[in-house]
Amino acid sequence: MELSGQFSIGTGGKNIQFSGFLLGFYNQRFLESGDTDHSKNRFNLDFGVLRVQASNKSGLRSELQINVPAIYSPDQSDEFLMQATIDWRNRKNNFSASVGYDKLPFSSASMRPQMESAFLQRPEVVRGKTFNRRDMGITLEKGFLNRRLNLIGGIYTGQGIGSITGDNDENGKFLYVGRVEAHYPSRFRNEEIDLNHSPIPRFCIGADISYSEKTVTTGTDYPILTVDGKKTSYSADFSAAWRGLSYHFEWITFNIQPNNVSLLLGKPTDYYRAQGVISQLDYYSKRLKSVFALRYDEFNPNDLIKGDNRQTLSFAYNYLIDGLNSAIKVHYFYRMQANDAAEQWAPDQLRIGWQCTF
Amino acid sequence: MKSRIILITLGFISFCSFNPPLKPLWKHRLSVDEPSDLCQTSTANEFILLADKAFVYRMDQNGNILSKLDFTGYDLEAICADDQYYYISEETFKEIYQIRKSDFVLEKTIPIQHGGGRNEGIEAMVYFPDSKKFILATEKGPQTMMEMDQSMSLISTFSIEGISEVSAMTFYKNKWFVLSDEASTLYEVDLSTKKIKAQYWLPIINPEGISFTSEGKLLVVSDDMAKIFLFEIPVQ
Repeated sequence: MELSGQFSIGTGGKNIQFSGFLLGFYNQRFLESGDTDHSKNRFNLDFGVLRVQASNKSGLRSELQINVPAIYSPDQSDEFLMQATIDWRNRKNNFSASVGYDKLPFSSASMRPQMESAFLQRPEVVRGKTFNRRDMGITLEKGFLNRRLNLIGGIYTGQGIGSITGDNDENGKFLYVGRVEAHYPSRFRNEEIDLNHSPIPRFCIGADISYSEKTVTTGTDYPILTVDGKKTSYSADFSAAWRGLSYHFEWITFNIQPNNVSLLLGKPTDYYRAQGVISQLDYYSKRLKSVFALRYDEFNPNDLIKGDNRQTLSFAYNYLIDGLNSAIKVHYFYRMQANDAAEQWAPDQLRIGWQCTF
Repeated sequence: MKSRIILITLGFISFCSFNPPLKPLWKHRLSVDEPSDLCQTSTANEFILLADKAFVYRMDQNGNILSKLDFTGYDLEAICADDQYYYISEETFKEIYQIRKSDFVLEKTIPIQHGGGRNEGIEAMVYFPDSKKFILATEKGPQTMMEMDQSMSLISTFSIEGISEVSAMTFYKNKWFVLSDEASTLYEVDLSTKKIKAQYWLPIINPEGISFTSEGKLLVVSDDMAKIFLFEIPVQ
């Protein structure tokens, strides 16, 4: 789905389109008694995105997408450049080749635009702390059976933001990603909310794999963004939608084979595993112009450490003033305490935002 | 407690329920992908079908492709016809191709002034032979109807209350039909008042094109499903 609100200029054989979106929110954390750090109670601008898309009649398309507030963010996962791609599609629109900086075709939940989600933040496992969601490289996509079966594959530098202008890792090896997805009875456009109230049930299953071998470990929250060693990631997802009700399930796992064996904590293994699960249900009521959503997500950053399971139950309510082009969103994060954990892994949180396209 | 859960569940199911959709008389898989619109030719039960995003085909009333025509566009979205010509909308580049009916040769390209996004060009077109006028429709954001004269000059713009998205239009036996793919709904619209007279919910994902057979049955093509459906419209 493409949010509306764009404007374009054409010269017959060429067309350029301008659009953008804004999303600001208020965030409130509910601290345990004794906690004194209230710094997360704040107003923030999550997105202030400008997007330019050009196309011509030979099938070439280019797109530049920047998120202005990210300039001021100390967090590397807040990316200023969201997309800079040139792609070519055949006339039948079932094959494309794309070159540039863009989201990786890994994890359905990561690929879905945040503005099209009922929630104001992605699940922990796909919010850019566990793998570089964007990278520089080449992506090929081939669709079969009216794009009900899609094969996507790509090769990338593997350094995330560092790939834009920087050098590769000193071993010069790349990141490889592949995805296969099957849809029935028609192609799923990776939408989270069934805004069209699909009159018959629709389903999609997908599976992804990515592989990289690097010499430097990075990652602020979790040291698995890139790994000094081998990192093999897998995910599988299932989505369904019918009459406004939509469901998404995803399982993601990262197998880390570090060169530094001390990271294995003396256990009799040559790898450890980080993994997560997402399960969510959305309902869109046309009558109430509202979306109600419930999501469970969990992330275990290291299966060698007991009790470090980060579980969150999220509740979302959206009031769609003009569809997703102008919407008020409320997202409550209820942090659950894992069985073996000494305490809740993070405080509960409430986020209220307004998004608008132009 | 148990009865409360049952009541809540039943309430939710009824909340999610709507009027039953029309039942198709039959449906077939098309041998081409992404059908975006269709239009009756001068031959009974023969249609022009826009499909595969950029290509044009001749098709019979059962959805069999008869031939591929020697014409290629980029993003062909809508087709209609007057006595002499077919008119095909090139959505992204906001142009109308005027093509001779006799030999399917491009006569001229007509630019359409509309500043919406590249997927918000002319999505649907219909010709009214009595008034010799066209109506061109943008899909959404906002949905706009453009009344044009026979030379495709703009006369006026308007919208229809209750229709926020349009994917196809046709005119059959003095009735104007408007299709919305996002609502999976076919509307019959009164020509003079521009008000909805009747509406039919279709059990189709992404219906993109409509036309009537010589026997008065409704043909609908679905872009995402790459299927053609035949319906009987109930008499009002």
